[in-house]
Amino acid sequence: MFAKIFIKEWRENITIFSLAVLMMTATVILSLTSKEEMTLYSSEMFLLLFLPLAALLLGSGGFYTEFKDNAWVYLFSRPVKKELLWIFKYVSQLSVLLVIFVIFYLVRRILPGLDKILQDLDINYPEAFGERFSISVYVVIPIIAFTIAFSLSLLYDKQFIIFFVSILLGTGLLYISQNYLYFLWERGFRVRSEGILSVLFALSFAFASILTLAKSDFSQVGKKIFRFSAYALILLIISFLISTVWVTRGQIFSSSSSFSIWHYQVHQGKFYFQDFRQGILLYDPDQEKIQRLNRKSRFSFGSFSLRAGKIVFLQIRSMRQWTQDLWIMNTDGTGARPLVESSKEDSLFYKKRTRSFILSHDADRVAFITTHSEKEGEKSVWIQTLWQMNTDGTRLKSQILDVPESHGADLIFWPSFGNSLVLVVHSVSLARQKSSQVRMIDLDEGTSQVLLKNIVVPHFWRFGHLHPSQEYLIFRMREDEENKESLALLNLKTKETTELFSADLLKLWSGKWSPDGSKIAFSRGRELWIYDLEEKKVEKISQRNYEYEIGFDWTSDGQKFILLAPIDGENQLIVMDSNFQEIKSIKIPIQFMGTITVRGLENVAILKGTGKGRFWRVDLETEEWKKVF
Amino acid sequence: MAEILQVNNLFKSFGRKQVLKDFNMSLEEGKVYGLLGKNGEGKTTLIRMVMGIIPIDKGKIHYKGKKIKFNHPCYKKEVGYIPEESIFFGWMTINELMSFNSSFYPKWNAHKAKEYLDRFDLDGKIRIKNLSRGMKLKLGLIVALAAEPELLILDDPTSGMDVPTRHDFLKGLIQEILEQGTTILFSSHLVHELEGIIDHLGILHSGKLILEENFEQVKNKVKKVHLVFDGSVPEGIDIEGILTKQTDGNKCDLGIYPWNDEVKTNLETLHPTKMDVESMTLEEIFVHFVS
Repeated sequence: MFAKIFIKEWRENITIFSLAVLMMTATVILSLTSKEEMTLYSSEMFLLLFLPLAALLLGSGGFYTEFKDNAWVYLFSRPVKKELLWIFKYVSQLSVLLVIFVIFYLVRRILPGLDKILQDLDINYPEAFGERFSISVYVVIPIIAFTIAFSLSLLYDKQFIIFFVSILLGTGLLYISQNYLYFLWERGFRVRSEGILSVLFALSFAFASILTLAKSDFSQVGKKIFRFSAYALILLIISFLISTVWVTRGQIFSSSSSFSIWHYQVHQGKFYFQDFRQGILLYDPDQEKIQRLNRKSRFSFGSFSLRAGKIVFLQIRSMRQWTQDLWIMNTDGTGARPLVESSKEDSLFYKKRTRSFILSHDADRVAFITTHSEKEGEKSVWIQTLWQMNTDGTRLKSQILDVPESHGADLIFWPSFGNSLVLVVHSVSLARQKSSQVRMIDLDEGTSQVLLKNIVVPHFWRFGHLHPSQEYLIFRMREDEENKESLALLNLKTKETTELFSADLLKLWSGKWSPDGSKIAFSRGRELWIYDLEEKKVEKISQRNYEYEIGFDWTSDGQKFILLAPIDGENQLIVMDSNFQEIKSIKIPIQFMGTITVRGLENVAILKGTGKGRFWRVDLETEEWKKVF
Repeated sequence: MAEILQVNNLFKSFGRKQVLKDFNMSLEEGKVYGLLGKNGEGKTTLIRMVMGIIPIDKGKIHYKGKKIKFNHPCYKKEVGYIPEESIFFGWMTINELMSFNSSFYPKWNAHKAKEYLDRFDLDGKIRIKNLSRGMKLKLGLIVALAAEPELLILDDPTSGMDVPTRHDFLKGLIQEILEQGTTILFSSHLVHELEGIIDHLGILHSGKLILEENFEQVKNKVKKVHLVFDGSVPEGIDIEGILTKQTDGNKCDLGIYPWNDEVKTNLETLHPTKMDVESMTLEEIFVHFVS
């Protein structure tokens, strides 16, 4: 029976299929003649215009022949359930659409030129589908459109009315789903699977249609429409509920959840960190408690800047345009508010992306860098602008940074003395890192001075490289001609650079200042070294050869030094006194994934592995291990 | 004799118009049931409910003792249906329709279908949209009969037929179908056609069956009485069973149901000078009942 219905539906829709084949043939011919622009145009028309329209046309004609010939009397008097008829017809007609997709896919694969052209096809679909997708999304939207139109097609015999109502309903529901996602977004939920709502809508219509067909008198249009509307409304409400649960699952905050730590900072003995879903959180080791600071910060991305009781962070406003706004809040999570608003066209920050930001030492002012593109003749150039303002929004100033092409500028420090900023200008290509510079910008004069050239920028250079007095910064530098790296100390007041230490290439990594600023510990591959600032002496302090790179830190009172090192295949936490004499070695009973970072708080060490759920604390006195999450 | 179809307390409305009101009917197996009614009385509605095309508002329909539920179509494998107007997918050819239809019926007899096509002189390659009304009706017959149904429901199928076909259908085909043991429900407003064919008669009027009986018994019970009086016709003739009454001078024509000795005696008490009692044709019976 299905086979006969399948053939019947294909026969009735052969025109649409033929048109699709015709269009694809035209695209192939254009591709073979190497007319790239025409091929792209033809492909765009096919994907953006023809496919959705064909899907709507196909769907809206779902029950057209039954209406047109009044053959529904004949069909529904056959010994077959109406639901089955619906499903058979739907699958058969959908297969027409799917075959078109398959042929198009094969054509793409066979003609590499066409495939390359289509790789560049980059079109934003409505936010209900989130970010830009691959070409496969052009399959999903027509299928959804087809399903909606097919579901409506049994209601009325005028195909063109069904066609337009489908467009109206489809776009209306898309609009509602977008606003609904914003609704969830504004209530603190990070929306990941936006497309699910659209799929559920389509399914709601399908089920409503099946139920209507199964329960209704086909000849009574008014009653059919009423019944369909009632079913569809109920199912749409259920769809919203399912989508809400799906989207928000795992996002109801629980301190016992697992988190992924993107960025962290220790401040006043507390551990502030950022999780992809939950935003900025705080771990208090004394209370052994994790709390989410503020629901608004759930949309934060990248890093945050914490100083003097305030936190500045970036909040994503639109996933589609990837727009972000700068926000500020207190370190207890209260007082969250935007610092800049970039959504409105008349805003200074409209279409400008913030890439780097920093608070002043007293948290009264904030500085940030935005990027945006501008047309220069036929070319687009990226403009990077440095902004500074009071955190109450007043005294806004800006200056355009002189940054070479393919380079980015990132703020790294705002000293407490003077009124200047330290930033790094580095290549966006990893292979060209040695062309990075450290600059100081005088915020009053607006002038820029290069302090260091040819520095190497490790990914976590923000941490541990600032001297506790905040007067020095430490960097790795690399000479072009020699395979050597050196550790350099930059005095931010005098702007003088002192080379502390020189060694072989790629050996220097990770540096941590002691809390009193008298020493800096750094790793050289598998060795731990100390540079004493007063004695101007460098020495190796690791007593054994470790099997791979290690983590280390001082405790916050400077009394102990903790070294995380693998010994005889086992990770161990070695506790040393201030003279680097081993006090004890604590076995780590947990398997961590990836790189392990250790942070010393007063009597506690925090160990963090990469990935989720690897955050432990150990009491250095009692050697008691506790899982934080 | 077992009942193949039973309709109990059926109600159906379209908007404010109540088409069937507490309708009851039963069909005996192997019989021909003639369902008569004026246009718009609800014959087609009833049949469509039996065929599961439209839902019932209230009531029950049983096929072979099992309740029929809307959209539970298993029983339809044994039921053939010829609607008033045979409408199929116009783009199909006759052969394609046969093939399409055969997939629904496990007992589909392709050989019989071919025989009927030849008998009705239909070319299987012709597209349905190119068939005349009469040819479509013949096709509808074939579609129904080739499935070898146990119950055949005909909804006024002959109204578009030409005379030879109608004759062949009514006199020949029906008999063949009956010989196969098929029960027939024949709905028509062309009353005269049913005479000589039906075993059982039902007259549908105002949403109900106002008569449902064996046709021979109906013929015996429904009489036309012609009375002549000396002087004028007595006023207020009040005798049970009068269906219709027409007075003309000293003459009075009555339609009586049921005719029996008691009615005869009551009429004689009126002292007519003449009393003629005649049987009615089916058409006259129908007219008298629905007047």
